Amino acid sequence: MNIELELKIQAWLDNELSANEAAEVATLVATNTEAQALAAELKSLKAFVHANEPALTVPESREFYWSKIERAIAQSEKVAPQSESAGLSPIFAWARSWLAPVAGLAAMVAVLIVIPPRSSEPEYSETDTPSEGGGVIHFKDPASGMTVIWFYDQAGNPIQNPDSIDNVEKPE
Amino acid sequence: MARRLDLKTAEDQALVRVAQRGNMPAFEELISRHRDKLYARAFSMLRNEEEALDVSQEAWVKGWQRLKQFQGEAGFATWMTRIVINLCLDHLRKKKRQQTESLEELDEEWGGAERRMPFLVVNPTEGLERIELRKRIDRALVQLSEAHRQVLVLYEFEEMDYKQIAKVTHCSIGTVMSRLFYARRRLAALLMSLKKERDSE
Amino acid sequence: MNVFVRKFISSWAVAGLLVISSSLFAAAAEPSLNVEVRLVLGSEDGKAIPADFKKMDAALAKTLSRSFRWTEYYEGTPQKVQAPAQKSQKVKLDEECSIELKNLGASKIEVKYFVGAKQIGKTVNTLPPQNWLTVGSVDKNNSAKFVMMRLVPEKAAKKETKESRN
Repeated sequence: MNIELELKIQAWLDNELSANEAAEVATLVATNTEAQALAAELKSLKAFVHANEPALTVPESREFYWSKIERAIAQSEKVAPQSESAGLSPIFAWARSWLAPVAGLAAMVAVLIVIPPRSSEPEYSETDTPSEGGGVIHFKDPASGMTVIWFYDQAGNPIQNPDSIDNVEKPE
Repeated sequence: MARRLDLKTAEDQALVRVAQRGNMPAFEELISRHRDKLYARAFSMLRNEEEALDVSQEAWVKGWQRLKQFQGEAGFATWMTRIVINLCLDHLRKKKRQQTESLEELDEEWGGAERRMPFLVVNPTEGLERIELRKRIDRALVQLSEAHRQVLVLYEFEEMDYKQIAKVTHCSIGTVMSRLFYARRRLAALLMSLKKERDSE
Repeated sequence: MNVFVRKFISSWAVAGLLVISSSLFAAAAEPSLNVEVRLVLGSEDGKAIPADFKKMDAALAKTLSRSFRWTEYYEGTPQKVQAPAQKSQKVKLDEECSIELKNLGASKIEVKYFVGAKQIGKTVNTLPPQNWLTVGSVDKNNSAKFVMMRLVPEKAAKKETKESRN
């Protein structure tokens, strides 16, 4: 059984599949012993984990815990009005209207010129699924740094080239 | 004449309405009711007592500041746990930027040996009392990688669906699915090994 | 209009112009990306391997076997593609598979994946140097074809250009 099917079985148990897909997976689970075993394992695991989040109590007294929150709230409420009401002298306000945008821009231009834009970029990944209701498996092997994007069709099968299927089946 | 609200017996909804008008004792009562749940959720995500305490308290401060935005579509505790979850995720992102995960942890995130592990046929929780079961799950959760634990906690405890998890963790749905799968398989294996330990004692 | 309001608006207008010109400058400065593209065939039995495919080097095959179930890996002739900023490049890999690459800047690349004439999917990823991006979907008769790509380090790309000139 491949990973696509294993994930489908999980999605089926998690009620994340459409009615059609769910029916297909249900048939598979009913007829395939390996699929059955995986479904049983995931099902029992889901059941007991879901209802058994480790129960913990705050390791501080009610009064002490609250006093820290109360102080933080008081602090935040003190800071907010002060910064809003801080008056500006007309000269400073005039200077700020010119200097703030120009200084901001100077910083932006400096960043664009001085810092090379490559390699420090955070990793980004976005994948569109096939338009005809298929899906995509997306994973990364951090040890080798390899990212894998694997598309499959609506029934969970790898996508075939419709133009070449006949050629593949026919003997040369 | 206005009826005085009995904080101890009032429902959450009534306490929220009063707190939204700036009543601190009502808010404190809400905290005392839900602080354990919030702390436990933060601990499940962070696995560190001090950090869970700080983040849960920060969540309450945020909750107070945003209380006027609470419309009551979800329960108050659910609303607050979403705040704590978001703070935990922010906290973990900041931490991740500061430290690189060890190769072993990264391997584990990818799935490691669980990919080829045979499916379990014995229920590793059979015959356990609830307290023992929770302890065992707690011990197993410690051993999951951060990425696995995050997705599992969000799905099983926070009851988010794949799409919501993908949104808050900034991952694709495919990544959420595979992380959840490997987290569950690893958890099953860990619970099994804990069962073996117990049986041999 | 009040003098201060006018000055305020004009200062932001200057700022806006600067933003536009600096972003144009940044876009113009965005260099091409050199991408190495390989069509790979994963096989369980090593049968029916096209004549122009050769066995993949052991290290890369080992990396692939961490992610895939096939036991043997073969590759077609690697292609070096230069992807200028914001321009699409179609790369035909064989009769069946092709991709369209678009350099979106900042090492971010858009890959449209085609099987036959049909676009199967699109993915946008950053390509950290030396990391492979693998895109695939075709899996039949115990074998699968997929595309691997990675950035060619700038120095290596320049060296190759020099050598080809000589």
